[in-house]
Amino acid sequence: MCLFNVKDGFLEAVVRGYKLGLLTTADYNNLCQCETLEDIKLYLTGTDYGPFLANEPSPMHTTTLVDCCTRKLVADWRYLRENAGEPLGRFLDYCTYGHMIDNVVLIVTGTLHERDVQELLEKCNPLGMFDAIASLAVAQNMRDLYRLVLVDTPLAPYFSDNLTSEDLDEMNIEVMRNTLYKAYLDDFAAFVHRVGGTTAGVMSELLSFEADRRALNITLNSIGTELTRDDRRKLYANFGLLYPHGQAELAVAEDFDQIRTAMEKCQPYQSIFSRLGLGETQMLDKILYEEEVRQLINTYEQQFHYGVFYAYMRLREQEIRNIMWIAECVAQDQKNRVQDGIVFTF
Amino acid sequence: MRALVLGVAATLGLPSLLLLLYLLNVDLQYLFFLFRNISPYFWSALGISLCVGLSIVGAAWGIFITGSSLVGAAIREPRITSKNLISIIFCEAVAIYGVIVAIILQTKVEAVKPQADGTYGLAAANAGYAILGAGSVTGWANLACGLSVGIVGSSAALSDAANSTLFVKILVVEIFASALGLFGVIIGIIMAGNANFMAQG
Amino acid sequence: MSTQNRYTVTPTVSVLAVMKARLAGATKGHSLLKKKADALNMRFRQILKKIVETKEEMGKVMKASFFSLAQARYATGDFKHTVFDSVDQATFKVKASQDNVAGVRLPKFEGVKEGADSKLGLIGLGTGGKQIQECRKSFMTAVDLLVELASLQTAFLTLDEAIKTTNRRVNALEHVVKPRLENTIAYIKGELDELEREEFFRLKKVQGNKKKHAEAAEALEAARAGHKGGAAAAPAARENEAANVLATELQDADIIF
Repeated sequence: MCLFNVKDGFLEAVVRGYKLGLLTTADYNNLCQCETLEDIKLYLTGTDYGPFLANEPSPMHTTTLVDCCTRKLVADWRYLRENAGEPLGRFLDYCTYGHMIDNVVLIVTGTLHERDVQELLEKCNPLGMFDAIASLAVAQNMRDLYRLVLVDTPLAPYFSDNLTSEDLDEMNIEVMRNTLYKAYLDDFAAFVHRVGGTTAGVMSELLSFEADRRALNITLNSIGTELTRDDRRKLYANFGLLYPHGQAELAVAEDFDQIRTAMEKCQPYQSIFSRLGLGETQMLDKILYEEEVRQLINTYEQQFHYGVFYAYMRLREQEIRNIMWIAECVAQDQKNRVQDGIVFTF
Repeated sequence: MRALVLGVAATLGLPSLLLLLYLLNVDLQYLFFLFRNISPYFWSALGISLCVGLSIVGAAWGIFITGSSLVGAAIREPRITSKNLISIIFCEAVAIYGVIVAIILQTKVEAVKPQADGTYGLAAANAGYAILGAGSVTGWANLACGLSVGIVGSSAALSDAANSTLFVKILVVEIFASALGLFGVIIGIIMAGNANFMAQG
Repeated sequence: MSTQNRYTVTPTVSVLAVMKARLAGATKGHSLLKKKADALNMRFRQILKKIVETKEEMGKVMKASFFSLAQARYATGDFKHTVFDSVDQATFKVKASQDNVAGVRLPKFEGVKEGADSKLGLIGLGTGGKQIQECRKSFMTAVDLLVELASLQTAFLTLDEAIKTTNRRVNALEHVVKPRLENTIAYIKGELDELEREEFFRLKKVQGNKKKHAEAAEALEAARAGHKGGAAAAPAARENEAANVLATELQDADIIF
């Protein structure tokens, strides 16, 4: 606490400043009243997104809107990353590894299907960019890819520890992505423990939730697919509130009700599921998002820890999702559904 | 948590060490001899330097903690800068306490002749230890005060940036924090009050 | 009766027979084409109705589909390329066939599902796979509808073309060919009547002339019996006159033809 501000006090204050720029409930209510995308743009110009939206030519599309908002997040993030010392810098990097995994997987599959690298690079999430990413396309098969490129990226241990070279060639890309993500979450959790202090306390709570949510999603999405129970079990992270008993139950769950029983044994998730009507899976995502946002906002209740940076990234992403949702609803004339997708932050 | 353990260990450590030595029948005579032969001027100088040094460390630390948060938060909310200067001033006050007490202590130091065996009299020894005690009390109190004011000040800056109504509330907390230093100052002055190198006896 | 609206034919009995045959043909063709046009029109209306229905449904389904896409993107982020890359062969193909309506060949499309889609099943495993599947399902129905609509639309266009040609033919037969044939027949009939009347008149004239000749010969006989000579030039002049009448008649005909 006494030494935190030596390196990170400034950035913490900055990120808290950024957090003040997040849209409030009042902002969302106003956005919901918008009749066209132009109105939305006009309104957003008055917020922190202003400089990023100002020069956009007039016929707006949802995608350009979302792109502009993402640019704002990326600019903020770059600023933070450039000003960060250690171990905050590592922490910030860790936050973006998730996107990096997505980017690598995207480029790799794209290259294997012989798509244009430039086009793929444009599609990459800018938060998950790293220097060597363009050279990913050099590799023609997975083994080369690992040998030539991935070794130099921070993701290398995830590849080498969790995937054999046979896996690289044969594994379903989605399974691979989730295996990597699991390794990443485990590593991230270990890292925040090494950092220790308030950071460890705050972050392990957030990461536990993230791990549990992934476990839940994987289970939910793999029902009825060829993913076996053992494979499924391997994709769960090695921590979280569900670890290990809840995960064992999730691994054998075959329908939503079984998942529900498994999840409800865990106190915090009981309340989440109690908000869900029986057999209602549609709203689950939103409720989970809301729970996540609640937890993320709670991180701002404490000072002198790194969780605020992670929380800022996540909140901003959620906000971009919200904006996208509102924009889609407005563009597709489905205004009665607007409320279904917005997760209010403040 | 770790700091607490360290603090408890330090406070209990020295007396228990002495007790242990006593129980093991170690002759403590040499220890007392050592202390008797150290000049009270050394103790007074040490006390004064601790007083100034620790106070200033505390103040500087506090200003650093507050300042870095204040600078960061002021990027988005420039309005907080002038209001939150008060946190910096509170930290600065801690250094001023230290300096004042140091000056007071300094005035107590007077030249006395040592006794024939090279040791100083009881009064001088008393004054030397009193100044050491007063100096370190003020110094440590001000260090702690500076830190706590700094941390509260940094929170004040951040919460003021988030919600301006919070500033006054946190300011109250901050005033209490800065009062901690005053306790040290008062006790220090009282302690030094009796110190007199020239006293007879 | 206008002189333009008929064929340039020589008004003879054989041509009349030909024309009558053509008229009969035209009438028959007209009635057949009329029937065809009716059949096509009926089908056309059916298709039109269906198109309207499908389009309305299409609007709804498309709306729902794109909304579910938005939902999936909300849950997963941008998953376009992931989907692109996990697809190697089309599982939905369009088969074209033909449908025959009153001799008009209408193209018809049918969507055919082929093969399993195992790879897609795992997309969005970590987040939002459910939504992606939902999205996929709703777009599947949209594609089905789209194919149906495409089939209807092309049928509609082809049919429209066919109906137009048929109607043109019907109209051509009804308003051009048939009147013209009728006119021609009427003309030929008129001409033939005229000729007949002329013939009749000429025959009468010839008969009359013959009679006159006979009378003249009788009179001459009688005159020869009475006064011979003097009246020899009169029959020659009359014969000239008759030749002239024929000549003008021929000239007239020339002008007409």
